[in-house]
Amino acid sequence: MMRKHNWPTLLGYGLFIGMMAVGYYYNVTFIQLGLTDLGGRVIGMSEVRLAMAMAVLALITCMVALAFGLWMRRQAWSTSLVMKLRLAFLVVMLQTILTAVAPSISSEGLFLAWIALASLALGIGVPVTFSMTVDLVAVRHRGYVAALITAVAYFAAPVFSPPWLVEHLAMQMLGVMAASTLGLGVLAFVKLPFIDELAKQHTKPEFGRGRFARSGEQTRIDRRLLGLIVAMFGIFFVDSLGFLRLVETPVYMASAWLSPDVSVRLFIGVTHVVAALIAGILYTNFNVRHLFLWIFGIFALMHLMYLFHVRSPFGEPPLTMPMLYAMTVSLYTVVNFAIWADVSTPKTISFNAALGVALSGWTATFISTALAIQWRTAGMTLEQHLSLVNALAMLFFLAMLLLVIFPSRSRHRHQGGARRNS
Amino acid sequence: MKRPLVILLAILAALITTACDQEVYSGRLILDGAHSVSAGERIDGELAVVGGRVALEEGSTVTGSVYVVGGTVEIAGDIGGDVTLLLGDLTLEPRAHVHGDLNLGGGRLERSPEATVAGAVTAGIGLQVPAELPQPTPRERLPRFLIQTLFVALLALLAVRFMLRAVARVADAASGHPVVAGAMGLLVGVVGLSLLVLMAFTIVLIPVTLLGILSLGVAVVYGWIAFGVLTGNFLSRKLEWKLRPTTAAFLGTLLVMALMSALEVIPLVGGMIAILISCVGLGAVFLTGLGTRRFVPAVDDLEERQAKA
Repeated sequence: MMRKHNWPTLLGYGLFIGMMAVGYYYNVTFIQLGLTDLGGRVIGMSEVRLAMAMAVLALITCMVALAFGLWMRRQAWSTSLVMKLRLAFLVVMLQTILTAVAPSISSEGLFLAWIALASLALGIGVPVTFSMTVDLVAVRHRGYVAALITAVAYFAAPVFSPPWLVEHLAMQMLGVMAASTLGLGVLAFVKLPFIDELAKQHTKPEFGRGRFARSGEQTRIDRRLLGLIVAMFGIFFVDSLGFLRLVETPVYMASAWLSPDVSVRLFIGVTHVVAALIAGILYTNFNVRHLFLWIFGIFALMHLMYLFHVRSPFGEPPLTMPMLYAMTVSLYTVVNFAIWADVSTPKTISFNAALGVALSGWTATFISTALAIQWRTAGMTLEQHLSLVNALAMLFFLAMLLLVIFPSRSRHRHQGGARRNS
Repeated sequence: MKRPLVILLAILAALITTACDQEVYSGRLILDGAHSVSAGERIDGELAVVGGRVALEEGSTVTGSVYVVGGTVEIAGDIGGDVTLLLGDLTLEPRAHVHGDLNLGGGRLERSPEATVAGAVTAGIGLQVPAELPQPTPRERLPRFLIQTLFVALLALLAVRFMLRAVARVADAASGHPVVAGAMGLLVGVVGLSLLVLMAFTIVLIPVTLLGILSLGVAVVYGWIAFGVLTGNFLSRKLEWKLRPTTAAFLGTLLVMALMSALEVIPLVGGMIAILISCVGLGAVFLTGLGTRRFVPAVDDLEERQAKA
């Protein structure tokens, strides 16, 4: 592509990486950390009520994403890049306004209203942004592009993130988001030749149909998409359920993500980058089931390490634990950014992405939050909690191991990776 | 279903059940810091001390055995099982009572005559580890290097003689897809070593850890041999020598091993390059399933099929 001096395509890659990286950074910092601080410290909500509010956010986002993804498919907006850019502009504008007013919210009622509006923006944002993959990123490069998005977002999160206070996070995000709104406005409403070029790319064979998409324009949910949703749900669920408890354990946060020592946070950031690049390479060149196997395997190993430390709670927790955590998170985030476009066609991408991200990511967050609250109110200890999460990770690991060892006939026909006896 | 796979899965499932149950590995592992167990307090299960300082005061109890692998341990209470000293300092105070054996493998023991040991006192070969290992001189390193290099080169010769196709597949993966192989090798290395260290801490899984280290080592050497084969073939092609594959592999591996040793001389960067080469080799071994299948990148495979269609 560089050799051909295909600048519109390169600009498209840059646009997609920038947009998704900023969006994801906003999600992992402002939405996940800023809102917790706003509800807890500023408004004074109890832990349980705050967790319920966050679960509501996940649930509404999930429903909006599904409804809007389906609407986009029916209106054929999935194949219109200009329409997607206009929608993205509206979403980012709404999010910018919401971010600006967030620190001044002082009551629970306003907080819940804020959450409802934020869910609307996030829910529309999911199918809109993910469906731009078919316009902007060639199938062959999706793993690498996803790796760059993950690397940028997760390097910035531990290294450049301000203190986890809503005022600081809002201040940091506002500058970036205002610039993004302006940029998206120009791209969406000013007639630019390179946008016209990009808008046609989804009709090319190297862009439109994903690696794992079946032939034809099937709009029904097939077994492969369902399997991927279940696997990704498992990953998000295990991650969220475990992290919800670890984030409340000061010894693990202060020695890693919240460490006052910048070299520790830099180490976590670099681990994220290296793991994301590995994931990008493996996603492109390897069978995705093997990647899932690695993810569940490392999750199980990492939770077992935390369990060992909990059972012998002396001394500083070793950095190997957050290192493995960062690795796993980067691995699955790369898969999440690339996989939904790869099981879709330009026509089906909006609903498939909404299904995938909403049902796996947001539903898993919703259920795991509810479960974590229930376990905590039942008096479950950290050790018991992590034991269960670890058992769950092992269960998924074993299931994936069986799928890798005994692949179905269809997989043999449709997937590469390695050839026996050649 | 293949029988060995069934057995493997059954063992794996059994291991999971043990790993997830908190009652199986009850005990304490001390890595650092100062800790004391007061009178009336009890530690259920084993106590392993790798570092730090632990004082088991009079009236305290450890129901299992105590393993001292490092650090300082002072015992004045009751020990239900054995006390094993491998490294570090152990003091048996006058009120100390060991119900099992006292095993001495190394370290420093200070035992009060009043301290009681119900079982036998066994002494093995002392394990004396100096604080800083002396750096070998170049003259001392030469024989080790020669033996190591010749050994790996001979292994390469045997590998090419008896499993040429397998080695060729690994070499193809390493040369054709070095980035993919490097990424896979790095992942296997980091996760594999973390797993092995974790297993070593369980103490009961130390034999499995040793087996794992051996397997990982064999895979790394297999990767070096693949590079040796590539180097040997390259040389015989460029210099137009008519070498047999075994001879080319032998000479190539000699060169690769010499290069790896030479890299050690360059500070920091040399070591990193050596690790990188090992990672690519290790990854190639894994990508090809120890050389049992040819590695084809998924995207290439897809495009090939699309083109055929």
